[in-house]
Amino acid sequence: MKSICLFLTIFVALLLCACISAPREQAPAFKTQPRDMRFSEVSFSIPEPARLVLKNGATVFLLEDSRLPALNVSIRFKGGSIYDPPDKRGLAEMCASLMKMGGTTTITAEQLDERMDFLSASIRVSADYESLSASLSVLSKDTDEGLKLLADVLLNPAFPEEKIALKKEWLAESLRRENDSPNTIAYREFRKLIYPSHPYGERVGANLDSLANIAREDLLAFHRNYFRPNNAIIGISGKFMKNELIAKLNSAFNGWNRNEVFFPQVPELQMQYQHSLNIVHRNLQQSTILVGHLGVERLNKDYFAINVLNNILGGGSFTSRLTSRVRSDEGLAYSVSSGFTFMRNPGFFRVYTQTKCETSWKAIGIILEEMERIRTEPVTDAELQDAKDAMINSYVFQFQTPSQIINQYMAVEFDGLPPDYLKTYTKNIAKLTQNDILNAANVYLKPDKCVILIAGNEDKLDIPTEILAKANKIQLEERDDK
Amino acid sequence: MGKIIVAVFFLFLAPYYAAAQDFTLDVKEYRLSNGMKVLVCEKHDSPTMTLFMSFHVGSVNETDGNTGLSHFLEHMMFKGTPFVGTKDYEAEIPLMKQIDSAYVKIDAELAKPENIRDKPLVTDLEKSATDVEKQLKQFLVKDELWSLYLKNGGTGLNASTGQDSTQYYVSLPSNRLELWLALETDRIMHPVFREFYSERNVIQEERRMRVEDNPAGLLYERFNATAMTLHPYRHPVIGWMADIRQLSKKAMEDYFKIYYAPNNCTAIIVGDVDANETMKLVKQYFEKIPKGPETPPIKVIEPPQKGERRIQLLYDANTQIVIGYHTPELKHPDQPVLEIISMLLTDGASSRMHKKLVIDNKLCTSINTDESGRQFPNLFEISASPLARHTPEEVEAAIYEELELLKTSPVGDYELEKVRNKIRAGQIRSMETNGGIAWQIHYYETQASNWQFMHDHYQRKLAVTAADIQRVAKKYFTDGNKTVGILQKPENGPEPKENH
Repeated sequence: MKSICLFLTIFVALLLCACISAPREQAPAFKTQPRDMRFSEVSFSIPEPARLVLKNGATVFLLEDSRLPALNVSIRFKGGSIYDPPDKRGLAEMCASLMKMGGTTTITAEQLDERMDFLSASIRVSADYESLSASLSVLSKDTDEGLKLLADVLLNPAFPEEKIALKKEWLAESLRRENDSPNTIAYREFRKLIYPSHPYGERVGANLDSLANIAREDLLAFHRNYFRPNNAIIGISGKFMKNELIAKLNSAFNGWNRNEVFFPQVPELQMQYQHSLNIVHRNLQQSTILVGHLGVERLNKDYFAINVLNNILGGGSFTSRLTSRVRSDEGLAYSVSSGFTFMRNPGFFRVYTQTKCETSWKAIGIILEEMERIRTEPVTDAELQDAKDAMINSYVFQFQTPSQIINQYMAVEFDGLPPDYLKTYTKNIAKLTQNDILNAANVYLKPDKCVILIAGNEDKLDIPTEILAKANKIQLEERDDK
Repeated sequence: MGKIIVAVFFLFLAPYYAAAQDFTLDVKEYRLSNGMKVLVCEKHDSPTMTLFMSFHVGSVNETDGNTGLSHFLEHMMFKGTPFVGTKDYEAEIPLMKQIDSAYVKIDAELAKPENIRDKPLVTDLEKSATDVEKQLKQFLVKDELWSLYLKNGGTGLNASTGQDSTQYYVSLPSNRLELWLALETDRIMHPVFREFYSERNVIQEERRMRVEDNPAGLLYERFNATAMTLHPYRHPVIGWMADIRQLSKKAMEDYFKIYYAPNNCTAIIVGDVDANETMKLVKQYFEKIPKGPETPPIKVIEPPQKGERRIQLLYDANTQIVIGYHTPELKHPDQPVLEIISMLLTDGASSRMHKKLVIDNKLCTSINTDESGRQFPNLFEISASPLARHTPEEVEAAIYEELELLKTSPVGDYELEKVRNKIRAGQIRSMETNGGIAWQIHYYETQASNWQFMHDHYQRKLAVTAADIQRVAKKYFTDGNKTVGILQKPENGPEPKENH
């Protein structure tokens, strides 16, 4: 019933717009109202990189593009912090960053840094929850040397004790500084609440306890296991000749052999949803608020509907419902947004906002109301069309540079998406209906079972006393001072 | 959208950088009859374009008591016009007037000391304003401008305000130029400052996020206001909290009339367009905007410092240090030398300060320097986060040691070549995207009043010698020219904060 009314209002409004005349001194600058301008979809074809599998098992994507005299290599390995042993959390991250930071058996860290800077090139190795990444950015004229150094970092890291100690010292300092940032506090505690017994609930990096437990032998063993060609997807884009580059790759990575990669058992994720109100007290003027629950995995069948749903609810900046209400109607917050994180296992859904402590509860009320509303009333035709148009018309921007393009293909391969995923993306968005969005909202949003987390000044919160009394009070993680 | 850090990119067209010392970016420059400058750079890689409206106004143009006005105005430029964002503008006018007059009274009361403030009156007025706001909602088409850009594929849609400029930008599929021209012309000709008072609250939240609850933001604001005593660069871009609260619509309207004139604006178009065809359409729209008055020049000159300044900020967070030296404007011959010095000191893992302070002596986890040339003299800044077992004094001493070394021993050829390689390669890489090019043009237009200065600036940087570095280091890195800000935890537990 209500949706019909909304639709009518818009219809009448359009008619009104056509007849009202603005004050005379303010004649419009246009003949056609911007809202009535129609443009054809721009046509663009997504360049297709060559895909090959090397003898050692590495999958390689190659995209030649001679516009810039530069070369980018990006490599992804399956692995990451979810496989870290419970007493050695942060092992993946420490190993990845020390591969570069510690130098190799043939070149010291200082020599490597010096050379990379002189060539104005960069090599990076990093870890996330479910992947390990390495990259090289180099000018084309330095391709040979760049590849050789990248291979050296990947094959022969030295892990000198002195650098391990330095890395640990930096990690300890960054842990010490976590509480200086309200966002870091909020996400840290929120993850713990959503995933009480799963590595998704922890940092990617080490914690104060695990720091001491990670030794050089662990790094060597970790490196030996995961950084194998048969566990790698390599993407190379930029200015090169394909056959020449393959020969260079084989030469630089000579001796990189396949080996079975062992993936430890990851604790099973408990699919539990339970309402809770949690408060982390810190003397702040503004509360950082997270409201959410367990979400979905990357390969979920409703991925497209979930994305459009999120766009309308709070992912589409100013045009989304949450921004409209919390920010522009009420003036409660500068930033408010919703989002799903997509992982191999269910990620999480969250609404995020920051508002002065005195209006926290008010903002949370609106957030829950909007989560409920989108589950009970279909989104309007106009909302759905706008969201779809935005996603379809902006798709071209994901294919502007060769490295962007190659990363899209690598993600499809790494995540195990269908090979035609990129080509069918806009079709999959276009076919969604109001009902698809309503169904997705009903299945994937649970406003009555949200973890609500407030990081702010408890004494200033506008929460009714009886509710506040029952809230779970979280102590800030203690930090040693030396 | 607070202080924008304008990253310094360099542009370069020749395919082999090492061979070409003279690079030119092919930009076509037009001047419209109303004084607006339009710059078009064709780049046909993908059917997209990046569009900028750069206004030569920022917090440097603000006066005491009205700080934050440029930034607030930037937010209000998204609130529509008589034709966009509304179902019935005529019906809105009397309601908006009611709200404005209520807030004139509210603001007058709030300006009084608390003990003589008529609080019940304020509550009543606020309530009546809220009631009228509710009535207004029926006429609004919320955020229509934003929505029209997005549904047309708008990407990177935003605006930002800096000390010297306010810029509105979006990237669109290349066949939608007319949408941009219509919406931008419309909002420059007759913006309507809808939802003014709720947006004023939004900006206070933005300030809490960027400054009040952000130790680095708070330290920087206090430090900057100490180093700059007279020049309006001392204003925080977002404005002081007490100012934001009472910024009036009247002040904004006056400010808008002076600074948002076509003759104070540069439009930048980079991407898959034909310059001639583009200009035909550009003129049809932008030339409708009437020319405005000349903007008042900024005549204030920051007096020489003549003595170290030092502030301490007690805040419940880990130690942070920021050090600044007064340095000249972008066009000054010494500026490129300072930029080279900044790169020598902290650009890359093998840079001097990173190597010495972070890797070898393990004093801090990171160290950064910033020398971004600006339209007026500004600061060379050094910031560091010490490891807990080291005092800020130790870190400071190590920093000064590196600065002294620049004065006493000439930088070798190898090290200079390393920096030049970075400048050349940086140029190549920044050419990759429409956005990278547009930001470049924007930067030189707003800071040097001329995009072509990018070519001179590039040459000047490559020409810097070891002798230049020694001379410039001696001239600027002196104790009398220095301001130091240190954030530390209070010794006796967390300090109670002032209430905003």
